[in-house]
Amino acid sequence: MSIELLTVLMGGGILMLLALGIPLAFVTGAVAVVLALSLFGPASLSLIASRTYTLMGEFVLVAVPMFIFMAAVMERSGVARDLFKAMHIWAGALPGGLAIQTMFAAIMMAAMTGIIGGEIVLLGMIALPQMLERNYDRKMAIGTICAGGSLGTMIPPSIVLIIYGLTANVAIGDLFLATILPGLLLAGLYIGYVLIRCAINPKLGPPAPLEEREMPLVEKIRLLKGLILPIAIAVWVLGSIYAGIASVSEAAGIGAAGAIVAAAVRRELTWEVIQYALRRTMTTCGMLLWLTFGANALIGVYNLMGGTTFIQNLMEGLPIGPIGVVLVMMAVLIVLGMFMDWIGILFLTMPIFVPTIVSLGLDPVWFGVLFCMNMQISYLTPPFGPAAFYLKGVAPPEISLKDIFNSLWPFIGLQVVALLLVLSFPEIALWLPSLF
Amino acid sequence: MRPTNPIDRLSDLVGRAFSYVFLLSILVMVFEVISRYLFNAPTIWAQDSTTALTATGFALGGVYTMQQRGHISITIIYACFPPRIRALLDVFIQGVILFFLCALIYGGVLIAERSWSSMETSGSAWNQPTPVLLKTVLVVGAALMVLQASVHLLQAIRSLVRGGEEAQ
Repeated sequence: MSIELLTVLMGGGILMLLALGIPLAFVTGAVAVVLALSLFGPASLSLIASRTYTLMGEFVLVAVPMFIFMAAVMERSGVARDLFKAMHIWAGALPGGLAIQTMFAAIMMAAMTGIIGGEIVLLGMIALPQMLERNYDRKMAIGTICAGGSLGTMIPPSIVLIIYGLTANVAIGDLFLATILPGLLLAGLYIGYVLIRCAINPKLGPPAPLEEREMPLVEKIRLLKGLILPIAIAVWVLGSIYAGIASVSEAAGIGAAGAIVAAAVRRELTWEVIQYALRRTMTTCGMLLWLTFGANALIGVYNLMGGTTFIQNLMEGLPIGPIGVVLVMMAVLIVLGMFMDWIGILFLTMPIFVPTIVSLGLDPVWFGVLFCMNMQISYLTPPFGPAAFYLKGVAPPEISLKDIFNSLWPFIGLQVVALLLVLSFPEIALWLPSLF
Repeated sequence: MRPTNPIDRLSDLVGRAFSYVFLLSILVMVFEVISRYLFNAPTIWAQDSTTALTATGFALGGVYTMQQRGHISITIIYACFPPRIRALLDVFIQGVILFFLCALIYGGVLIAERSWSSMETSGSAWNQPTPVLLKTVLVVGAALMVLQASVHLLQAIRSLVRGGEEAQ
């Protein structure tokens, strides 16, 4: 059978099995096994096993459970609530103040965690009721939380970037540096959007009344005391990676230990919290890692069949130039992002896309940032935008999933604008890493 | 998902018990960072042991996630079918899962055997037989998932026989 036919059969088989409701991890794994058995015989199954063994022993993957643990401890503490309150001091008086306050809190939390989900749930519980009570425009309130909460994987540390770095074989420190400005660009666009809309029509987001804006000094000191340690940890974790002092895994370990200490100082640490965080880490890792095992097996077999080279030649042969190829890839990612989780997309596409990008003379760090921004879009786009599902879980029952998805379009538009900006001006991503 | 039968309880127990490997790896990492940066005395075992600990968690986490039905799937089309077809699909889904896991175990046993016979060591400064351990853990993790998926398969078959009631 020719590689063209095999590729079509493989793609069709994956889509069909996925549609039937088989978990992605086992779809990719099973297709890999079928291909390996039929093309190379039973002995090739040891290739699948040894690829899995090599992957699970990668030192950078150590950072993944640690960042998840850190986020889970934070989730159970009052840090998010305190952050939200503290941001009130800065943003309370602005038009759309609560929404901007939410966005600031989201950025700070994104710098402390590397996953999506927990942040949206927390903001949905803390910020959404307040905005609705104050008669904020519902669409704007929902969009702010979903878009802001998704920044967790955009602003470093980010598990998406760790896995990308591993797959694409680029330095994770560089990736972390490169996403800072694009991440802030996204946040800036969101904030600008809220400010402009509320300045034109103050009814959308009335600022808080003066008496509520004045916070007693005692309260300010209490907030500061509770927040200084978590913020210091975030600065320390990222700082030590950027300064090249610690590896990502070491920094993540210190961050996780720091989260325990911070919870203890805040008097929120119980054995139950640690057990909860460990169980969350176990289920999330079990899900993430087995997905990577399956996809990694498939890529290994496909590579052996000569498929990777085939796709690469196909892409390079397209008469559209390097930027055209990048645009095609972005389109593929956006479409996949509507139906699949980031990790499935990463493992299915990046082993093919990244070598192509490199052979076209483009920067894989820049492409990683583009991928990450693309996944921001995928969190919000229907029918499977995870951000909407996370918020639905904690939103008042009268807000339907359809309401949430309808609220997200302006923010998806802003994400596309930011993506195109970074695509046209790679310096936005590459300037910071070039300084170090 | 509360464990209701012995296999579910086993998966739950393995998941809870081995979740502590992550706490251990955090502690090892902190120890290493302190001894390297504060006392300028890096250990030779910290990197190997943290990766071995987390890799164990990864391999054994699969069954815990499976017991909680936490592996990501797309159910939008699945949910449109009537209960009887869904029960039939469940049998097929578990069949595919078991097919992959058994193949992984077959390959895993091949590489673990080779590793055991030479007591393969990691080749790093610490040079302990961690490859032997981790290849075995991978097989054990997949075998536990086979048990758990078999329970799900039996549940699916039972539901199919009863005409699609209590399909999960």
